[in-house]
Amino acid sequence: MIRPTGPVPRRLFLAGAAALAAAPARAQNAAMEDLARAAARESGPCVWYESSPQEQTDRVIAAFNRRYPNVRVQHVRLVGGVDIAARMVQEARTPGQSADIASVSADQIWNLNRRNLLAQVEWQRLGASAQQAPVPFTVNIAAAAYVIVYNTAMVTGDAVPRGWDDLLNPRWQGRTGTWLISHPFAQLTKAWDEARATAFTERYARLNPMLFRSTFTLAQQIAAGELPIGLGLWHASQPVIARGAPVALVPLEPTVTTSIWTAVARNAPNPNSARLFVAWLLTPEGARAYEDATQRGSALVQGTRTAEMLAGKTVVEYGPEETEVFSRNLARFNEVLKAGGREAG
Amino acid sequence: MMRRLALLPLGLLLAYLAVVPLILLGLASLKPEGFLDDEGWTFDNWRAVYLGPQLWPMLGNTLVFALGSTAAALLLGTLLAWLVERTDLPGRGLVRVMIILPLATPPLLLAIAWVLLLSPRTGFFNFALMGALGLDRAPFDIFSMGGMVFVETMVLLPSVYLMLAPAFRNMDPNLEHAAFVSGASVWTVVTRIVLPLLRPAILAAAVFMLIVCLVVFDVPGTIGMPVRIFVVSSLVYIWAAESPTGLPLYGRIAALAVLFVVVLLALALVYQLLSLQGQRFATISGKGYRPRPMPLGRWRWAAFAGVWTYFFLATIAPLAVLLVTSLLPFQTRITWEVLDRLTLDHHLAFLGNPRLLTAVRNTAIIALVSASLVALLSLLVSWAVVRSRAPGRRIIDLLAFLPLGIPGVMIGVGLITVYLTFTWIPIYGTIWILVVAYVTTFLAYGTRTTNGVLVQLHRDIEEAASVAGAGYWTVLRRIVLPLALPAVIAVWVWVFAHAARELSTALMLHGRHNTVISTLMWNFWSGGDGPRAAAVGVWLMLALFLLVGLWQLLVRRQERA
Repeated sequence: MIRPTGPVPRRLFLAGAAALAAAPARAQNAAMEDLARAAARESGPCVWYESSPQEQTDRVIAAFNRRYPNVRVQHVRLVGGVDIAARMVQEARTPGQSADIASVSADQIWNLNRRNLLAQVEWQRLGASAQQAPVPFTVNIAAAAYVIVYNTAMVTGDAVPRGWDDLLNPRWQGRTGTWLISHPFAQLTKAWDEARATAFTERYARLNPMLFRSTFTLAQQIAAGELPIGLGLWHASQPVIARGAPVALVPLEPTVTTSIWTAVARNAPNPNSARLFVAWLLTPEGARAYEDATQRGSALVQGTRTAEMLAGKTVVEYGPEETEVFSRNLARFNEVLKAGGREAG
Repeated sequence: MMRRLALLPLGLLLAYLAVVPLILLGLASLKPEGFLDDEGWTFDNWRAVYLGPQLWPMLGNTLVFALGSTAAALLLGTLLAWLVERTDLPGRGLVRVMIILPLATPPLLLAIAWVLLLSPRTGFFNFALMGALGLDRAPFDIFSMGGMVFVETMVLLPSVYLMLAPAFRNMDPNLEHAAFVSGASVWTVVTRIVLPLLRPAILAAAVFMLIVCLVVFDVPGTIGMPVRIFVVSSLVYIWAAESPTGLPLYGRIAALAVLFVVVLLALALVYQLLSLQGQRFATISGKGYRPRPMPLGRWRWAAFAGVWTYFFLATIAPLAVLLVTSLLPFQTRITWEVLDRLTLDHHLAFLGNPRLLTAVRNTAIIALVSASLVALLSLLVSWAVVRSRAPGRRIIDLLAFLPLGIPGVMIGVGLITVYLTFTWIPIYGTIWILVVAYVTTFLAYGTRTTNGVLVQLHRDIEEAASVAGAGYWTVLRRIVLPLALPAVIAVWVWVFAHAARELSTALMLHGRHNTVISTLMWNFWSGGDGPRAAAVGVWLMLALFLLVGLWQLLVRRQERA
């Protein structure tokens, strides 16, 4: 800590220190204001490809427009990250047709950057932390966390799970479910060694879990009583919980997440609007608006529910630069799940 | 000569609709990641598909599913068409509506409804039967191959009926009458006269349904996938939507689609060989006849009960369970207790949705335009194929049929690529790209139906008109169109209903300006709001029910006139 020395008056020193501390914030504010002025001059609207329902993203855009009323953003919902990435690749062939912003997972953003489709931006100059913007082509705006989802009317007392190992209890034979794609299992190799993660996945697959196309469907089936328990996503379980379904969630240690990486297209028709909107999503105001609407929050922004939930937990996830390893694990574990625990050829 | 020249624009249009996606398919299969801008060429995708471990284990399931669903739908559809069009079944007008009404149900919703009814742990019917019969385990399990075939049969049956009913209606009853007079039994008449005469229409329906079953995903994805019953379309879904590489494996899908196209071509050629052989199937000639329904005797009311059973399973039960679900706060097992919690919230939220009006308008325009274009083109194509002797007419028939074998995802990729390249046709991201997609895909159904009917028209009527001085278009307008009108209208209604409820292509081509009702429904479903999606489905089904009901009223009025 810097302390006043010599004849400098204490009040003057404190004012100077405060000014020094505020300087980056002022610079960021100034950069954002400049960006807002440039964005307001763009023809717009700035098109954002993201996979949340529009009823949710309407609320995010409304919150953004309360701060920046002259910048138009339009959300287009595509089915999922793979679809968004494919559309970005296809649209890149035609100038002016590209979306401005894409929000996808780490492997998809890595592929888009590999194809030189993303703008390189000094995100930290716009207020992003190093964790939020570890590379210039993308920022981490939020994360979806895997949890155990169970039906409180069907799972009681000692049967209530507490962690990963409880998912393997033989009592769940044929009575558990998860996402068709082995994302959480493939991510586990980051926390555990590969042999342990593989053994865990094979044992889970031998329980003959139902495999759903979406973790929202999984949560619905658990709410309906079709299954007592499953490995799902925190945000995907919120709709049924909010409507009063007998569903509860158990956070896991280590916690596996899938982050939402957001980038501006290299040929974005409205690049300033796009940068402004993405930079705003990284602010506490933007992060809370996104979390309130989609239930997916940023663990990297203090004050979000996600940051509170993940405080003290070991969070594991492969980053964009580790895509090759992750994709290989994912393909292998997908086959294990599909084959019901038998290692497929 | 003029006739041959008249075929040219039709051929060019079909070539544009069918060949462009096909060429893109071929190119994509040879690109490393399946995108046209990829650098280099490779056979890796072909190797991965045909020498890899994933495809072949799924073929057994695929064949059982496709053959089982096609056979069941064909058998029941033919029986229903015969009962309604050729017998004295009571209340035939009402029955006709009952058979066609399920056309309005999106297959995804029908699959979800049957999960709610026949799931072994929460299914309403299972619980009711367990309670009534004192069983200790559920008698039915929808999550099985049998469940998949059952629901797919329900999905296909109205289409089979619509393809066959006009052909049954147009059959000259004198042939059956003569057989009866000669002492033939009902079985002999059906097997020796009715079915052979209807061979083109039945074959067309069989080929069409078989190909549809190879590429459909809604039912296998909802019912089979959770319990690891994978079919080939599951593989297409995984490669397209959940690829482990982060980008869709379009190259592999394209290489796989070539298999579909080859199967389709083989089936189409068989169909052409067996059905387009001159006048053998012509039953409508210049001689007039009055339809005389075959008496069913003591089977009359049994047949009526059978039709009601079908209507209950295909429409009443699924609609009822969806209606109740749409009134529940969250999806749950339906018991007397949950009826206390009924709420109109989901319906009110849907009706108050700011995107509703736009989605309704878009859906109506897309369905109207697609249905009208397909009906018109189908008539023209069939007339050219069945009537003209121009070289290349069979190629035109194949061109109209080919897109059926291309998975919807690849049609979508093809259209996106084409209209991002031909930017002077500014339809990318609009409702018109959906119209192009639906005309391309549904033309196969339209031409199969109109082919089947035009084959029945004897040339002598048209030749008489020509001798009397009528020109090419006059014959089409004054002779062919009125006789083929029931089939053309059937095609129109079928395409309208399918375009209004279609989801996969609508999602694939979704952009800034083309939200439709089905994507709105998907918005709710995939966002975890099953009951709200059910509410949208109920309204969509009611709207389409109204359309089908009105159509049948018009048909009845026409018949009386």
